[in-house]
Amino acid sequence: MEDSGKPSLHVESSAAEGSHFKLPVDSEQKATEFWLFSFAKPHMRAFHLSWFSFFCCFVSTFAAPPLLPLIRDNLNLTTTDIGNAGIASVSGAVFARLAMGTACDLIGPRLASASLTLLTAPAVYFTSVINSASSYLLVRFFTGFSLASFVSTQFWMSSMFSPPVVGVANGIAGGWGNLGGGATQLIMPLVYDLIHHIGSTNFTAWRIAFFIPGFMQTISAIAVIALGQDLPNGNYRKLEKAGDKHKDSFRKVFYHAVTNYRGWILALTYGYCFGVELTIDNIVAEYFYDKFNVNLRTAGIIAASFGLANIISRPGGGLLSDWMSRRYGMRGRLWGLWVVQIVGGVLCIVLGRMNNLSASIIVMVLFSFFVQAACGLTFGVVPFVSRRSLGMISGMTGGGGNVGAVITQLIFFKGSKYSKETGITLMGVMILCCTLPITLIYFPQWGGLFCGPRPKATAEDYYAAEWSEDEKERGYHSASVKFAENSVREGGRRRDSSPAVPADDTPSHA
Amino acid sequence: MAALLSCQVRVLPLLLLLLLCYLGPSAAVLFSSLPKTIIVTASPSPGQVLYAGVDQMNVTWAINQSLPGATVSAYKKVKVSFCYAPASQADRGWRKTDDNLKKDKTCQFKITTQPYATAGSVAYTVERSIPTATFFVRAYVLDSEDAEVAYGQSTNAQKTTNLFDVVGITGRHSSLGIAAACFSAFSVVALAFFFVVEKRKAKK
Repeated sequence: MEDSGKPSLHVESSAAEGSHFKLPVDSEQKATEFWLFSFAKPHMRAFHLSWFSFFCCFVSTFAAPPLLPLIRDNLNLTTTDIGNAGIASVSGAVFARLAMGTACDLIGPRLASASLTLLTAPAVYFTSVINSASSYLLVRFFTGFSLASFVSTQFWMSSMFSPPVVGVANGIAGGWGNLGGGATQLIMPLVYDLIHHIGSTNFTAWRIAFFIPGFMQTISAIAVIALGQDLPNGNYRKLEKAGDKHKDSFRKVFYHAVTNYRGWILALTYGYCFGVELTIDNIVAEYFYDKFNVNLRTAGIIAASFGLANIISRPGGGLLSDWMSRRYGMRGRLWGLWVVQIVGGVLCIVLGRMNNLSASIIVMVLFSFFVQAACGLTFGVVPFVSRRSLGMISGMTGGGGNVGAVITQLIFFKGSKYSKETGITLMGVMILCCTLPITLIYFPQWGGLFCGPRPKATAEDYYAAEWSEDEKERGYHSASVKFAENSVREGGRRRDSSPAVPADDTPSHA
Repeated sequence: MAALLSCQVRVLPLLLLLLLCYLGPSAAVLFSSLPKTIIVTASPSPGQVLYAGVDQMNVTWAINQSLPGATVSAYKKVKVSFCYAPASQADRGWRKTDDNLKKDKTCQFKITTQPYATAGSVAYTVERSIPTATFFVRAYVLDSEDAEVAYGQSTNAQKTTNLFDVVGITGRHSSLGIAAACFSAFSVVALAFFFVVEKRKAKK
């Protein structure tokens, strides 16, 4: 059984394959260690494929903002048009993320992610031929759907990596994907300059530039399908046909997702860390440009640095989550999330009050670290909310992130009711208010922020409760049982010393 | 003797201040402080539409000697620009008019800069980088430090008369459309291809 980190390498004999993994794995064949610089099949390969394709989606979704000074003159846009398109770019993904969660549960993250990425690539290519405010809004809306590949990334990582390292895997995959929002503020102006230099007029050069993110998207999606694998043991279709994986029903998955209140709370709080990140991606360049009179390229570099902090901030959040879990279990994960997001909210309030350029940049960078770490910490908790409806819960949380972005931009950043700095301060206040519900999250087997666990509650009970007696008899819940065993460490250090042996002796342990 | 020295001591800071006033580019030039001593005429008739990259226009300007505030000795250069009319500035903060000329974004496209003469003109082909908008023409007179000292414009003070339109290039080419269609088709076909392969593998 699980102890403090010794890897257990064993292979469960099943009809599928008696395969050998480079990384140490647990009873579900999920990797118990995370080797960043390896491409080992299937775990680390899945990691690299998923973060890169998610990165490409972010590059495409935020490719327009750095080129706006050209686009707005070419298309004769008004501030209202630009604001509406910004809202549209993040609103498409609200429902797409929910749909994505379901798709992952039903057809697997590999096909779900590649389908989404390949089907939104045309929106990026056709950005090169838009000629009006409404066509601009439409392409940004459809391109924004690709942000739903976040859900498949998190789902895939949660399928490939074991609880002790799932926080780090989710954090780095999510963080390096979000990086695209920062990288694009550097990439697009660079590509535009190159094309303009070669000889195109400015109003043509920006159009040609959009082929780059489009092409990146197409190639990364093809790589995901061709080289990736849904689960450590194989792909969904093959495993389902061989009888190794039961094909679940959408209705049941949906029911168990929406009736779990923790999913809703996390959706709200994610709206105020990730949603805030998306909002800032859309407005920060303009903010610095207008308030401090820096030139466009400088504003772009400052804007990029916000997104670029994701290289370490979100993974840092994931690492912190896993570290807190080693010492304090799930309660540690929840405390880490709560404290980090509150500090992020305070820094946001301070950012809006800064009147000096260098102080503003420093506060912004600190703010970016905390807000992005909070995103990583959120997804350290999400994999444990549900096992049966993991995809849908991930989708709800992810969708909640985008809803937060839409609401925040609608209330504080549309039109001229609030100046941008007042908007930023008020956004910080909203972060603080919307982080309070974390105090209400309670796992009977592990506890919550202020309450300890119930004495006789077990992880097995919690996850098995998602299946009916009938389904349990047929063994459909076996994956959930294994997951429960592997999550024993979420009980914290005190639980570690006493081996929590499951009631039914599963044959998979030596 | 002492009285003279003290006099110089008193005058010195005043001189320095005056010197700084002339040298200081940090002193903001306010548009409302500029005298309108130049008369500017632009060839497009009111409401005429010019096509970027194709149409030509003429701008002529002349100093109005009879108007007050014309310290002609300071005039060194004339800068003529396209400026946005209020209709094209509405709901577009990046084209906002500000009295402080350093922050003013009304006139973003330079037509020409010439050494000062009492009258001048320029024939100008509308450049392809000019966007679709309504414009008028303004001429600033610059002194030796490139600070504005006077101006003139082809429209009235409310910027409602003598405005003309420019239709900018779209920047679109049919080759772009074809390339976009090809790449998009390739993406969708690739997806379909892999789905079929998946189904076949599962059947095996």
